Amino acid sequence: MSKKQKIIILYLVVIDVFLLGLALWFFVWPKIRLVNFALLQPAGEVAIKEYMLFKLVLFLMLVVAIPLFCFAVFILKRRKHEKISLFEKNKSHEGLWQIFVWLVPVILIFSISVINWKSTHDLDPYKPLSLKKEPIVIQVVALNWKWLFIYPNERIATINFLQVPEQTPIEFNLTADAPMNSFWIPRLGGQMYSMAGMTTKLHLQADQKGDFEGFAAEINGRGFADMNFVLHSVSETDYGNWLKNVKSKSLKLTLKEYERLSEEEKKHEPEVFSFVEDSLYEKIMEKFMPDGGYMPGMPSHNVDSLDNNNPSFSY
Amino acid sequence: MKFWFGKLTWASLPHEWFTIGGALSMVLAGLGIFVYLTYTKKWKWLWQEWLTSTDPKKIGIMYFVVAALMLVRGGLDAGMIWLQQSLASGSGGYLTADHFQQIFTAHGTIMIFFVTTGFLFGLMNYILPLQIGARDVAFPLLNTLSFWLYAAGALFINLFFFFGGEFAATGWLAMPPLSELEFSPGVGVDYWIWSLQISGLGSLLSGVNLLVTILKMRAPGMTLMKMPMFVWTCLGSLLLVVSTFPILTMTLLMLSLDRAFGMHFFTSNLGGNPMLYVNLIWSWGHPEVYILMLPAFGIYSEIVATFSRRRLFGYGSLVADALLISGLSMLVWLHHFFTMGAGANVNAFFGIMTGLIAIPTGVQIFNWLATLYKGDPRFTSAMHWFFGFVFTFTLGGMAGVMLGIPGLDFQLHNSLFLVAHFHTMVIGGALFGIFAAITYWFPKVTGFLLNEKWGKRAFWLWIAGFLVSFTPLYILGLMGVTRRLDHYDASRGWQGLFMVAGLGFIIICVAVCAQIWQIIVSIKERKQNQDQSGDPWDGRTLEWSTSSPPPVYNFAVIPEIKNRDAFWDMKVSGQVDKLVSGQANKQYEDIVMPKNTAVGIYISAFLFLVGFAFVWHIVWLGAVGFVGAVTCVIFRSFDHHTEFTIKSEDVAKMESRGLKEIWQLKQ
Amino acid sequence: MTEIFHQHQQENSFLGFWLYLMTDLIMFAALFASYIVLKNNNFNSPGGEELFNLSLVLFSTIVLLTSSFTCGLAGLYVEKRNVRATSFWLLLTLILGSFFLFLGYKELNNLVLEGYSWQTNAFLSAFFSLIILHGLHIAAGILWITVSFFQLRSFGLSDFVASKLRRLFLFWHFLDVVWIFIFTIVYLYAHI
Repeated sequence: MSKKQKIIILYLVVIDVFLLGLALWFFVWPKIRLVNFALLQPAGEVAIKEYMLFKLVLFLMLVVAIPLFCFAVFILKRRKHEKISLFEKNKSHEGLWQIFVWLVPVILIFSISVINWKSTHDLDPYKPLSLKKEPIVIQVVALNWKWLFIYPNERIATINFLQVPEQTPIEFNLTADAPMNSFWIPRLGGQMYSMAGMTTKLHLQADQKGDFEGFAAEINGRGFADMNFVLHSVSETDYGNWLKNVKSKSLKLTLKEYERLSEEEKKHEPEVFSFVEDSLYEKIMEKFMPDGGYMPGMPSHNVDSLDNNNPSFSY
Repeated sequence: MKFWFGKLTWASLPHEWFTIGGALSMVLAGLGIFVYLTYTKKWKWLWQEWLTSTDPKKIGIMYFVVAALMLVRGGLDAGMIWLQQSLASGSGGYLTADHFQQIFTAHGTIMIFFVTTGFLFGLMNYILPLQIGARDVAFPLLNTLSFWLYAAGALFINLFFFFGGEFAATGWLAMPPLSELEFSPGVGVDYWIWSLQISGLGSLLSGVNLLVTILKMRAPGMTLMKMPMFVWTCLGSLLLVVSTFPILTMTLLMLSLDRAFGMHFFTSNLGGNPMLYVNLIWSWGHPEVYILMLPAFGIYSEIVATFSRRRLFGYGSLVADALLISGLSMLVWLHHFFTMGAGANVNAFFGIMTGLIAIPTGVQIFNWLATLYKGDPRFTSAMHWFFGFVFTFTLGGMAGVMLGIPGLDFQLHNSLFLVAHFHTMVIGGALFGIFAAITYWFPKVTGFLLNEKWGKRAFWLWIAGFLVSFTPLYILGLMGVTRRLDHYDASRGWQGLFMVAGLGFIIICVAVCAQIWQIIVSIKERKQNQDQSGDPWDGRTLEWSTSSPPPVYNFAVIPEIKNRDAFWDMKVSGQVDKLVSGQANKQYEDIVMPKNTAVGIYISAFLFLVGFAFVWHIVWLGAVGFVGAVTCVIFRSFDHHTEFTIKSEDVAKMESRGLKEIWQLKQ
Repeated sequence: MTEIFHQHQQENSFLGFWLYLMTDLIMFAALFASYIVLKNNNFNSPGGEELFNLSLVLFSTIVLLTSSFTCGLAGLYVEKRNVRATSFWLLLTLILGSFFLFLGYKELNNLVLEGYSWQTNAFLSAFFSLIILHGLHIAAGILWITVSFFQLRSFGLSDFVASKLRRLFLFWHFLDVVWIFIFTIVYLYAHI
């Protein structure tokens, strides 16, 4: 390549980098707020643990990756001058190198496996949280294409909208009356699938006041991208006031209203119901399984939060 | 009427802009080829030389052609996805949600089943027999049948443009209950099922075929531990193919029984269990990605050894790696659904197993780098792809280890972090490997070398485009963005990063143009870049001992193997000198080769009809297709004259023409 | 030269066919796994214990096992290159196999007539699929035996035909083994 061509290419590269920088400055940077990085801005006990796990694993991986990159770059930069003859000398510390090369990944993966085992049990979504407070139970039903949240103890319900007191563990029980979906509030913790005819559990907690966005993380049809919701975390007193407020509203979630709701297929604005049909959640699950029937393929947990008429696990 | 046409109506014909566009472009392309062939009077040549050929070299090239066409289709889908996601802030975007979902389903399905699989099976067809010193694969008829089944599947997946106008909108693995009749009542999911069944049968038969080839048709003296590394990794991959493709076949069959006959394997009610599907499909799905990765690892082994001018460091270790990866990959499938609530013990077990696979993969990379360190490396364009792989695959592997920890996976599952991870693995691992393989073996296949300059430029463009395209996706994943979104709120602040990703896509398009230009320039300059010796890189394995391109019978005399890196061994011991100077005593024998056959085409055509009948519920057509396929098989079984002999005099004539070129030995 | 080539080809064909049978086995295994997961999902309908007629099934098992025996004898006579004996035992295998199919058809038909079809619930979907898949394989074997008669007539017991027949026998024995699994996992297990 001639000098002139090199200069032209250099100019092109510089211009491209400049344009890219401009694009980033004008279009990307203003839109990104630090709080956008949901996984790096945890606001609940579960998410905090997951974030620390992320940092730990990243660090461990870099411990191996960076030397590897340096080695690769070193090979690229090195200019060997001796000629290799057609006849090679054998045995050049191959065995020693093999031991080293196996040992390093084994040690790394062993440590990660230990972390894996411990963290998996610690972060088990079915495990109650550490705060020894009475959890708020919320039953989640994934519908086409909205989330229905039932507060069975308070006997109210909401759509695409959750309000909880801060620093209080929440026990979510999840099911669906629609294809398989996944319930996810990134700033508070990981996700859990919600499946028709079965119930899964997720324990989360908001450690601070604020609004936390929630998403549907598994495709379940046309309106899947609309299934967003918000969890408002407020003080205890505000929560109590909100409950009183909801009880005074007029909308009631009877069985008929529920039928209508589940058939309707358009995007839904957040809504509250002051009254919920008794055992609505159990009735929804029952649609897919006979009374007291065998529940296929469930995880082997001890779950005692649901009432005894409807065992949801079997082995 | 319903009897003759099943569910087909006038409304099934193209009537929307994309179905009309797609159908029209295919018709025009087909018409163009038709006109060209008629004008140049090449129909007979095409039929005799290529379409009915049983030569694995020709079949390999045909796989490449179809895979390249499908790459264009998959790439167009990718472009449409990018465009939608860049524009879809608030109420923007030009696609409906349903349409967008069909596009990304098609994108994933095509890239995995037709592009990567096609390239790799094509490569195996061409190179495997050459590397083990064989003349052909074990079952030439099955080989051509496998190719035509693959081509039929590729055609079938494009058929919805003409009939039906819709494809599956469920994601590339079509999880129930979304893929059941209740939520996907159209024909889209059926098209998806049957294109995969047809091409899946081809893959399975290829698996059996190539496995028997490796086990039974190696040259005398080539024990398993003397095989080239590419053959070892293909062995690992093929073991996975034969073990896991039947699971895919059965699972797709069960889903199609649910849809066609109202069964209840995976429905939400009447006892069906969608979690069963998830387990089964991923029991196939995870080994599938290793089926695609392992041959790529083998390619890198070959390239590193040749361009370090040194035998591979740690051959035994690399063999163990290949087999370990192959075996372990069958024990990790649950890591694709940690979030389905299996419980901590089960999740932790599969998480640990997933981590274990990282060990042999890492060891491989260390061994390759050690080979380079100890050797005399030449940084040709093929080596560029190798180093691109080292950097990108390591990054993607780190992300993979994170995803393998259930506690982390709960936050990363189904987010764009996951999407970035698997694209890194497939592009950085398999695709770069395919590009490296094309660069490395192009002279062997065509007889002239590819332009190195443009190859390096294409590489730099690819890696730049890849980084610009997928780094934003990693970042978006950390922002908590789920995958497969067709629109999002403007206030989220995600649009900028999607647009940067789009910029990366454009760079990749430029990279692909550079590659096309590379091919054009190479063809124009082919006289200067001729490979006259058959061994342009000073290679180590047997394929370099043949002419470029090799004769139809590969080897006139099957070589006797004494050591690993058989061709290098022959150079070192002076055997090649003897061949060139004519001192070797060459007694040629008659060579038996399989005849061409159109049976593969016919059977595939009949099975294509069966698939179509299933989609549209046309019973008589299904019967005709099925009976036709079976009849072909029966007729063929009566055929005694499936081979022809090349007389030893003719072999001698063909060989002496080749020996006129002097083999250059780089001392 | 051609003879050595053909001999290698036949060895390879046999190995290839074994491999193919193993893939077939894995396919059945996936269906078995599905059956085991779904077998208690009878959703308010009777389960296997009520629906299965064990004596009929035992009878059809004996029929199939006998056909495997006749098939084995046919295999012995192939090695002895005795065309007539091979044809005779093949014919018996064919008759017994067809009778097995007929018995299976009767069993499934009875169930459908009583109102229990593959659409009733997941358990029955899995059950019908498993039995019918096996039955389709048997039907393929019967077709193959029929074609073999014509090949025997046209070519006699050449190496070519003998090699094909060996694969047929392997297939038939394989189907017998699968049936034993079905008998155990589906019919016997339902009564435990």
